[in-house]
Amino acid sequence: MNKRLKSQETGSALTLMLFAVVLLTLTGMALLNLGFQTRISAIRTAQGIQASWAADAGLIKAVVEMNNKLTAKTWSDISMPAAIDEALFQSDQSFSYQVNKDGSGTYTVTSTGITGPAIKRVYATMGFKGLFDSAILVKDRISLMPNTLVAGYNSQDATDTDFDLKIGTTSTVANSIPIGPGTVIKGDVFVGVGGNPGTVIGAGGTITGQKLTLHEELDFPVIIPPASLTYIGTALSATGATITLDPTGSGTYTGISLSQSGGNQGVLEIQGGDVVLYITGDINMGNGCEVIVRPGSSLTLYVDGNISADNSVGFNNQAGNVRDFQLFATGTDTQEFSLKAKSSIFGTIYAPDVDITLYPSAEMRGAIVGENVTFKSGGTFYYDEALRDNVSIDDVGARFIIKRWREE
Amino acid sequence: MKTDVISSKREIRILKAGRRKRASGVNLIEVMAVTAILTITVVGTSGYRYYSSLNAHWAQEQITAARLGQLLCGSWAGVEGDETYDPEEHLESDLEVDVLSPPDSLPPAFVLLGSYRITIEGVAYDCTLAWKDVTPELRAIWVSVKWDWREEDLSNPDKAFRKSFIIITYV
Repeated sequence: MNKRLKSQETGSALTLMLFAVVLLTLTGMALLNLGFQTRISAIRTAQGIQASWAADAGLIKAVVEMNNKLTAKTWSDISMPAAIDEALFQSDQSFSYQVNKDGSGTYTVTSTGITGPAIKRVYATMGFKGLFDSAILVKDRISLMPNTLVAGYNSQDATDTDFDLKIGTTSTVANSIPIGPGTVIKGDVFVGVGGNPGTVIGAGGTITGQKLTLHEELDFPVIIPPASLTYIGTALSATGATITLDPTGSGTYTGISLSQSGGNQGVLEIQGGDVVLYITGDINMGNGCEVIVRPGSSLTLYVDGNISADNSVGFNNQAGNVRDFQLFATGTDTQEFSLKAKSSIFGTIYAPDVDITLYPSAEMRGAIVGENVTFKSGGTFYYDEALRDNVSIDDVGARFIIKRWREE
Repeated sequence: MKTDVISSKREIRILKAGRRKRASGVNLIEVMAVTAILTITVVGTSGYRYYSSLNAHWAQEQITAARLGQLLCGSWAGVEGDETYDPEEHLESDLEVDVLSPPDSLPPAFVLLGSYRITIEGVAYDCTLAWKDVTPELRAIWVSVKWDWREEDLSNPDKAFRKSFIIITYV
């Protein structure tokens, strides 16, 4: 019994003390662990941010690589761009990416960013952007004659009646888009970054949409003629006669010269399919001469020199499909294009550093990019929305853009 | 039998007296020991609490630096790494931004955009922005955030060392 009493009293104090010690130790360790975990969490958060930017870097690089291949015309669905564990300048950040094409023909990019144990993934769905998002885009000035109508249509969807059309300039100089009396623009008109629409756009005419200022500079991709074209080394010349080209006649020529003789016009006839010509010199068209694109055929024309036209001459795209006649300025020196038509002009012109003068007898359908664009004869300009909405990988100047993306 | 009872009561008294004597001595020692151990434990726990709060402080600085880097990188990438980007102009409405001179060091071949001191909750974060054109279409932007990190004594700048957080990405 004595032992029992002694043991009971001494033991309770010791037990209480031990209990308190253990409790305090556990509390302390819990606090220490909490602080440690907070620190670990902060490090993980920081690494997550770095990994996220690494994934973004991979996505950006993938898009650049994809567009480089498109520009160089070396795109192949069999060997699409990819990268594995590419370090960002000897930092802790690295990325991998791969491009895939699904059954519906949509391209996707998966980019994975890694920093330490942190892994972030970005998934992007790609689309295409063409050269003609605007009906008329210039770097300097658009001159529209009085009573000109600028409107839209959709060659791929006859039921489409709600047209999203815009014309504009990247310039901020006053009166860069003078709008004459009676002129109607059924859409928006924009001016360059920092410009004042009130001074850059003239006060005349009617604009059904808004007057806007660009928020960022627009880029004008450089177009390079296909390297695969056969070098012919001579000019295409027709004097009072017709020369006919089919796809086998595609190639690089030094010029085009069409002239009248003995009451007969010089004619360049395109038929039998898609013809691609790279003209390293000038295109001169005499009175009454024509370049005729027969239905079922198309002409893609890359021109380093000038285009000059006398009276009653023109580019005659008989089917009226604007994609059947495409004109690209590819020269490094100053160029001027003067285009006429006996009736209407159907086609697209991409010449961001060229002064373009148009003389359609009736109307023009398509889209234009130029340094300065002047409509000499008034009339109507119809922008084909399909040029913006139905861009494919085979279109000249088409670029991959990110349509949607998500991050994990 | 009665004698036994008395004897037994006496024994109990003697025992009680002896026990009180012995018990109070033991308790004093125990109390002293307990007090000492508890004091050590409490002081130790305070140390835990101190290091816990220090860790939380470090974590807060680390997260602030990371988010600051994120903010600068996002803001600059938003204008596609433009060479005229000015954090003072873009962020000064929300943050205290001062130009830092001389600029901090750069990675090789990068071009300095600027070096800035941004003070948040009394901590100065030195931020350096630089860029490099990898190809005509691809620009790398580099954002570094450095700050003083004190290992032990938060109030003693002599015990500080530099921590950094760096983001590199393409625009």
